[in-house]
Amino acid sequence: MSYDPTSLEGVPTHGRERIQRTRSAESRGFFTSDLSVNEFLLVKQAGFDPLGLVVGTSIYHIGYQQSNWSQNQEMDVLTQAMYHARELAMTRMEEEADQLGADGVVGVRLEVGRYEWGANLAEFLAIGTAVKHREGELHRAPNGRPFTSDLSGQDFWTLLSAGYRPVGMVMGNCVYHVAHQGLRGWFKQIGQNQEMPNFTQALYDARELAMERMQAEGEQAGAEGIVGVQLHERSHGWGSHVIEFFAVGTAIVPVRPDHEIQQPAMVVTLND
Amino acid sequence: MPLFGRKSDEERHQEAAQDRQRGAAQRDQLLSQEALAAGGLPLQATRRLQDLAAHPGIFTSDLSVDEFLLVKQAGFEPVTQVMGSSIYHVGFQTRGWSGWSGYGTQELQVVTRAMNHARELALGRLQQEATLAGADAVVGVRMTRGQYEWSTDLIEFQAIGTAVRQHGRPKDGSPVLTNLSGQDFWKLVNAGYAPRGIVAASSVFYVVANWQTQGGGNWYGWGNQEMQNFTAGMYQARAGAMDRVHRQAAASGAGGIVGVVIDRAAREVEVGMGNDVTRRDMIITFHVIGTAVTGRPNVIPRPQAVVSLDKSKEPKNEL
Repeated sequence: MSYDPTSLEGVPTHGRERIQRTRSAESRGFFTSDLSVNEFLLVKQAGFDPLGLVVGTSIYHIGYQQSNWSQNQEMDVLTQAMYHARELAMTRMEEEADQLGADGVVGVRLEVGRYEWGANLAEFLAIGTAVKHREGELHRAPNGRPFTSDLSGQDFWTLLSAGYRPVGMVMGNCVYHVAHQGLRGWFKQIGQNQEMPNFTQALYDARELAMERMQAEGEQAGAEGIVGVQLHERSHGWGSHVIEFFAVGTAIVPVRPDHEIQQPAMVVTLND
Repeated sequence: MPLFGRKSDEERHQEAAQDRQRGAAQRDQLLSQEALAAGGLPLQATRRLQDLAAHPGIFTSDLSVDEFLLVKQAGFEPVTQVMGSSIYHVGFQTRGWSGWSGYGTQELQVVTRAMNHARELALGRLQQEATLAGADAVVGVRMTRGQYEWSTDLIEFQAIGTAVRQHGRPKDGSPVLTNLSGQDFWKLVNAGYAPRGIVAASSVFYVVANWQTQGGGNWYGWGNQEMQNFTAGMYQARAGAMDRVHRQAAASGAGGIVGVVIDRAAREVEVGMGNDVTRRDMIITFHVIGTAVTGRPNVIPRPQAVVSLDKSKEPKNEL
């Protein structure tokens, strides 16, 4: 899906009204956010103002792909579906942020939900808080979109103070079919302690592919690196032999050459 | 439009190309499986890391922002996320005992060995990945044990961490693994210690119910009493795992073990004794993991008391 900052495609009437209202409330200095109090203060301290909660969603019909019973293989149709649906949700969230005049979105959560009423349907949801720099410094990603990051308000503050900024969330996924083992294979290993190279290879390759794709996306975004990578494994109702591996993290770029942080002092927190 | 059942030249070419591709993918899978059988890495991983070593691009890491900055502060640069995994078939251990005599508590050696070997393979692969990436250490190694729905005889050990390189230090030896977080790593390095490697072990014990524990105390009244052989079984499992960890740490020349995480479980098994009589035995599992350290302590500054604006750590994404 190509990015269009003025696009309201896929946003229902209520959503458009909400964006309208948020925009007019903005002039009065009113905002919505899912930031905690601490996060709110730290985002303010970093020089940003929260504008409003932004959401992107996509309910996606995931096609069918026949797998070979005894074969380890990537299910590329499913991989593409899962990736494209997430991309749709993210893009819609970014467009919403753009319409609020935001520089970026912090605290993004990406969720996948399934409903009883649709066997092959999945809902992809991206939600976060749109923020804008008070001094109007440009903090966008190189491709002109608002930056996105799944970092908390605290992490966002720390990252900026250390001379880095987020450019965008990067992700990679791989849906993989793990081969079933034939009867002969099972008989051979009764009573045996042994590694299963075929299963190990399948899951290893699938994770590796997901991580590699995320890394390629980071390189494309011109990032210096990716922090906070999370690797998720889930079988989205495809039966137990088909598993999705999903890697997501925040790509960062330096904004100044030195990244020295103050020598931290040892403290005892009185929080609990 | 070709006639029914006949293919145009173009289609035939396409199919041939697809076949070649599929053939190459299958060959890669077989080669990967051979490498894994020898305790090595699959092709995909080897290629990625060799590529990375040849043309350093961007780094990847599962370090949080705080950890990333602290690891840098300690004099290290993240290189890449690394992992190691092993899916292992646990041999079935028969326990067809129905009698009382002669069998007490004992270690299920087959299961214990399976767990320890699978973990060793996973950590070995993690270390090989880090070596290929030219790293000096791997920080924040998280070990997870998993089981998949498709087979309950299989266990998976998986290790994930971030490979790091020390500034201006010539490479010597293989990378050192630690399960300490970036924060703990920084504190440890600052205090004058160095990690020597991960130490980890599992021990699984089978406790046969005796006259006291069998039947949950039905015959011997309702009084409060300690289940002595179950207690003893837990102690033995703990000793079994800790002994192994001690030996590993001693072999690496470490002065102690920190960051120890213990996980234990007890599971009941019902054993038929004939005449519709059953007794309930217990399988006790004990896992331990930690980082062996060595060094000479600097003066540790007295901590200050503060109220922090941090939030407690919790997972952000749920998919």
